[in-house]
Amino acid sequence: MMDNNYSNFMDFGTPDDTIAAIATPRGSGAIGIIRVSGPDSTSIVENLLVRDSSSPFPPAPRKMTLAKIIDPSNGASIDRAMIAFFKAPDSYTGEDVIEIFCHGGILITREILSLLISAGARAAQPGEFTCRAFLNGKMDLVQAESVLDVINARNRAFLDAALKQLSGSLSSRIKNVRNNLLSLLSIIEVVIEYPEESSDQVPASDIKPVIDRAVSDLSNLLDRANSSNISNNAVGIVLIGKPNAGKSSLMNRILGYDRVIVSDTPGTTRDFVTDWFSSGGFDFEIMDTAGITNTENIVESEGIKKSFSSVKNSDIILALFDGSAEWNSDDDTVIDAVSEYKNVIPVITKKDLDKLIDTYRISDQFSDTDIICSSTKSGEGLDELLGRIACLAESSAPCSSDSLILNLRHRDLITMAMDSLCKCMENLGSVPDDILSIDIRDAVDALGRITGEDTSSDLLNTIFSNFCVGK
Amino acid sequence: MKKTDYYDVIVVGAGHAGVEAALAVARMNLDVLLVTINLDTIGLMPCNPSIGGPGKGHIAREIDALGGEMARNIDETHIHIRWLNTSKGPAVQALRAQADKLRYQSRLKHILESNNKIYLRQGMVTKLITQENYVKGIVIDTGERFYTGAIIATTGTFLNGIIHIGEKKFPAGRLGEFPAVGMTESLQELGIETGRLKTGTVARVNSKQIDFSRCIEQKPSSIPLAFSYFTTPAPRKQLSCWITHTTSETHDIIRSNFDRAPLFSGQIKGIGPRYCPSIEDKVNKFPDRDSHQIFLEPEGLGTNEIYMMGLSSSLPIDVQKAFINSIPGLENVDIMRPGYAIEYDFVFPTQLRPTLETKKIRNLYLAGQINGTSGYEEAAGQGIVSGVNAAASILGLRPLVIKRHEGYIGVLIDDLITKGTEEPYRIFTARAEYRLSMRFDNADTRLAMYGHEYGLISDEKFDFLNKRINIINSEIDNLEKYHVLNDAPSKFSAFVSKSLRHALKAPETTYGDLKDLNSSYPPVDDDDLTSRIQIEVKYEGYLKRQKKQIDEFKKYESISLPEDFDYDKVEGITVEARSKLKNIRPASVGQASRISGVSPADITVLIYFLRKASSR
Repeated sequence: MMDNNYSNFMDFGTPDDTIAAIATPRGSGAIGIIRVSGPDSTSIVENLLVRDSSSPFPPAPRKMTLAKIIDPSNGASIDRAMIAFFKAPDSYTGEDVIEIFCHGGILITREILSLLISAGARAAQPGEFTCRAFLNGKMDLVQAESVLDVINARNRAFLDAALKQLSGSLSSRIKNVRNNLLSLLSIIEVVIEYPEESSDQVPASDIKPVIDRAVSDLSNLLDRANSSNISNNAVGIVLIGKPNAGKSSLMNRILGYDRVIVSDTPGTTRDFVTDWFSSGGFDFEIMDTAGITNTENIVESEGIKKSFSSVKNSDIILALFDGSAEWNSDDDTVIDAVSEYKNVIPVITKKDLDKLIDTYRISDQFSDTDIICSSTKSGEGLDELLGRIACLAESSAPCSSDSLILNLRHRDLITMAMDSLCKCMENLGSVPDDILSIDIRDAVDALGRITGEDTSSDLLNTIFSNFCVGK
Repeated sequence: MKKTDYYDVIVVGAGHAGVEAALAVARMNLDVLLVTINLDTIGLMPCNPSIGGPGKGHIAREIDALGGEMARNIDETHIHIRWLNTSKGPAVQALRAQADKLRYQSRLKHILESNNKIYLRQGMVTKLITQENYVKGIVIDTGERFYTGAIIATTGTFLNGIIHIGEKKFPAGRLGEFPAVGMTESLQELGIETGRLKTGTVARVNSKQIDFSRCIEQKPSSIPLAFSYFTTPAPRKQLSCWITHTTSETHDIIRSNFDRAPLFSGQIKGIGPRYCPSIEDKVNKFPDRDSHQIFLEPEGLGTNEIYMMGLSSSLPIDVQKAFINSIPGLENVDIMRPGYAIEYDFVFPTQLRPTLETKKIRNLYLAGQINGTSGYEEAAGQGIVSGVNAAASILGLRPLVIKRHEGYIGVLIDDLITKGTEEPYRIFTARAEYRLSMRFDNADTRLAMYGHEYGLISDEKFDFLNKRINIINSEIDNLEKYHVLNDAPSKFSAFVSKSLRHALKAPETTYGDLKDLNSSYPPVDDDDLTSRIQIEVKYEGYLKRQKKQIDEFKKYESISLPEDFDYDKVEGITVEARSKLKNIRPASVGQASRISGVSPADITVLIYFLRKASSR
């Protein structure tokens, strides 16, 4: 019943709201384009700009102008970008459109999109720009046909990805909050629908704790989402191996600079180091871990535990074996830790040194995978490794470029739900139940659009299963 | 005297749907034949003798704004009326009234009889006559044939109805009435698919045997009230309702007879309403509750019969008697009429257009329980829409489609034709997305223009409504011109020099306070109008927000989908979406988007192809 979920992802937007999205594919192009469309696009973009006071805003239509983009909340500089303004109706969508050409890459485009959303734009739905263009009669038929093919293909990937993502804990957390709100709403509604049986309003003291709880749950969720934003969209790589297997060296080599302090002393890496790089059109989050060894040291063993758990959560595992050392029980532990995963690339390091390791111990374990032999000194094996990483990324990538927006959309909807709940709290005690219910219902609607559920029927089901009502 | 056997429209069934349908057709100046199995049961209330409540009351009011009869009829015949939900906010307030059951019927019958365009006829329709998917007429049980341009079928619970009382079951349309046999089969032959539903009612008892001292009295409103915009409320004789409760003994009796309940034994196959469970259902589903509230409602001034809301049951008659007698106040009552369950045929409503015409057979309209609904108001709302549309079709006028943001009638019909129903469908205010904008008080601004357009509301009455709406609007502007003066009572000191409109927005301010805030302000002296002014001002922010949502919604409602749209030509939509769209054939993109299984991606593709098709 996947398609039932699809139907609730729909949000065509109002004619007078303004949408924004990253228009260029995810990855590391030189330039990223963010498109904003709707009646408020100029005023929303203006919030983010520091301009030469002599130049007018919006700039003359269809002319590129230079602007400095800042975070309006703290004045921090984000990027220098080119801005192009397309005045309604002479634009792609037929509405006022602004395109921001910024420096490419995941971090900057994403940051700018977030700022646009804080300034009042809404993350666009897949195909929404084109949809608006259709509705405003802007679409040339030949053009539309080709755009449609793309959208159509992307939508599927997008929604599949959305569902995949939702099958996890995000979904269950949101469902949990939504169900609590639905129960609250059903208490309010049953009193409204069956006034003969229960004549009193629901006391504010019954409503407040539920809303408080929901707001705090949602804000926790947002915090967590914020801190794991990049990893949600970048392909995660984790390096694992016994101490001194060359994990930090390999990471530095891949990143192209000395990110991690490399030492011959095993166990140097205790706090995990994470960084990002782009390769083959993908963004990667790469993480170095503590060396796996049998240790009495409490700090070290904590680090090792973390190493194991990061293996579980990553998209690609690089299992490193020191080619210059004899096989030992730590290597067995590494093998055990990764044996159940498919997305492992075994790497024998230090090819430049004398080979002491028994390769067959590794090939036994990874019979259908080629082992990469590398040397960070000579750079040998590195291209092969990056190629293999890109292959795995392709198969494990959550989806197309839209996944970025998807997450922002979730965030957008969660923020909407929180806003509604806050409004409800402001009004608690001063407005009647049917007004209160509007904001609670808006919150349930917003969360339902993430999880793909219909408020009206869920609400009635909750009422009938929780309350004994009716003649 | 009718000189031919041809009528512009034939209405089958004279319940709440049939009556409104026939009146709408007649008020649009067409001849209508109203056929019913029993002329003595026109407009009968076989269950609660009551109209209104949240959602249902809104519909009664909407029918009034459209020029229908229900509101005026209950105004003329009620014996108890009061406001409900007054403390719960403007969107959900509604009137509820107890009818004098017999007078409610006889007034309706008289309205029908007095109309020159309406011909009443007792008879059972056994067959529909069609030609190339157009309705042509009916055959009734006497063998007579009547011919027509359109048929509206409002068959209630009569189609192959079977009543269950304990182990006993027998064919009936309602208790004491013949079922309608032949019509379902006639519909099926035309390719229309039908299902089976169940509903039920409670036993009636004699008030002279009730010990009211053991019950709690519920008095009607002391202020005269009215459902209709066109009724001037006047004092009238009213009766109280009474409240009592089931006891643990009641529940024990019911529980120990579960094995004799047709609901649990498999004897009843039709699906009953969850919102209107029988008492055995409640005891079964909520075993922890040791008491349920029971309302005792008088059925009229001229009868002792009492309706006991909350005790609907199809248990054997001896069990019904035993559990009723275990309830405080009812220890000594005898049963006058038994409670019963009834199963009946209905038509899957996804086979209908928004006009309530069947997609298979042109000019065949269905309204009321035949479409899977329950309730007098729900039936009447469909009745008036089907009547207007049948007449409009014959007169070549545009069809009447009430949208989800315009009224509960619109929500009801859209839900039915888009999602279908698995249980008898009842309206709830929670079914509406735009509840605050669809209030009891503003049905006139939402729908009266349609009533006027089709001639159901006269110019004179339409002017009367518009004058009042204009007063509301101009008075809201006027409140901006007056300011709170220095000598205002101290609790309003925060508003000094602000406009009266601003002051009225505060939760604690009422319209009645305004004269104290500025003594030169001339207040409007009409409670109905001032309460509407107050709602519009106080909830302006919420109303504006809802207006934005409605604008968004309308955009997609306005893109219509031709019924012969070839969904097979649309590449890129899912198999499931394609089959749902082909089956339901939505009238608009908005409706298509509400079909479960149709995704936003499908909708995007659909809009694109539609544009393409229309530009060729």
